[in-house]
Amino acid sequence: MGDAVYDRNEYLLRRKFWSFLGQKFYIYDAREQLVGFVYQKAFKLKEDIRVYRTEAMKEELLIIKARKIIDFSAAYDVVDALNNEKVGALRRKGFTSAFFKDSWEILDNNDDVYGTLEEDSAFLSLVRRHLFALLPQTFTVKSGGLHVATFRQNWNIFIPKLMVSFHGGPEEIDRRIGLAAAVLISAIEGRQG
Amino acid sequence: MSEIHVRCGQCGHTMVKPSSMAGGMFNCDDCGALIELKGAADSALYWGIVIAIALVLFAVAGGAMTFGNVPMAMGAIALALLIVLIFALAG
Repeated sequence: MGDAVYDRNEYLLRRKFWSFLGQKFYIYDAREQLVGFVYQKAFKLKEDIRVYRTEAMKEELLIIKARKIIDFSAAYDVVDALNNEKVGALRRKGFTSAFFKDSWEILDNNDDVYGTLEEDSAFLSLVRRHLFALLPQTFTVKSGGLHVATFRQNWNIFIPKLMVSFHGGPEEIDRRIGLAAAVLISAIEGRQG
Repeated sequence: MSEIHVRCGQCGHTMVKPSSMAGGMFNCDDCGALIELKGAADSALYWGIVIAIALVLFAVAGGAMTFGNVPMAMGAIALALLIVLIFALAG
């Protein structure tokens, strides 16, 4: 991985309250230091999300790009912009996510599934979908059957936040794909509430 | 699962990838260059929808012209051209 941005175990994604065109998010570490800035371009039919080192948006860290314009089970490739290395892909399980609970698959470079990202509680997911959309979600990330990360949303409706915790261990997930998943959850899933 | 044959533009290496990767990105197995695949079917569907919308608006314009409603005809033509322009820029 290399870059110091990916050395942390805890991150916090916070949506920028006022953003004229496109969605913007700040990525902080546990000491509340800014380690990244996310910008999702507006008016792009094919989702294109970039993670930059700072808000000045001069140095790209990650590129998250949808493969198709119209896709029920959308797949997003994740590329490390520092060395043009594809680190994997994330694919939304369309049917399950639309009717049951948010579910994603984590793919390697050959599109083989090696991990999952799922909303924790099916019951809360249904309540969220049909009764109370503001109910925060918790996501569990698994790789090789092991629980490697947890994403937790907060209750704030004005400035949504997502707490990202990576759990140590031999099967640790690549932080780049983990952070990309957190960005997608914030940007894509956030629109469905 | 169907497959697609891809040739690296940098080193010429030929690879076979699953068709699910169409429209996506991957690194060349040989030189590591980042390759972006076109999503042909997706583009065709996209432009099909855009052209269909434009044709419907042109038909409305034609109908309006027939009944002598010039402002409505002009409006429909302008809207059709605007939609095509917006989609061309966004796509």
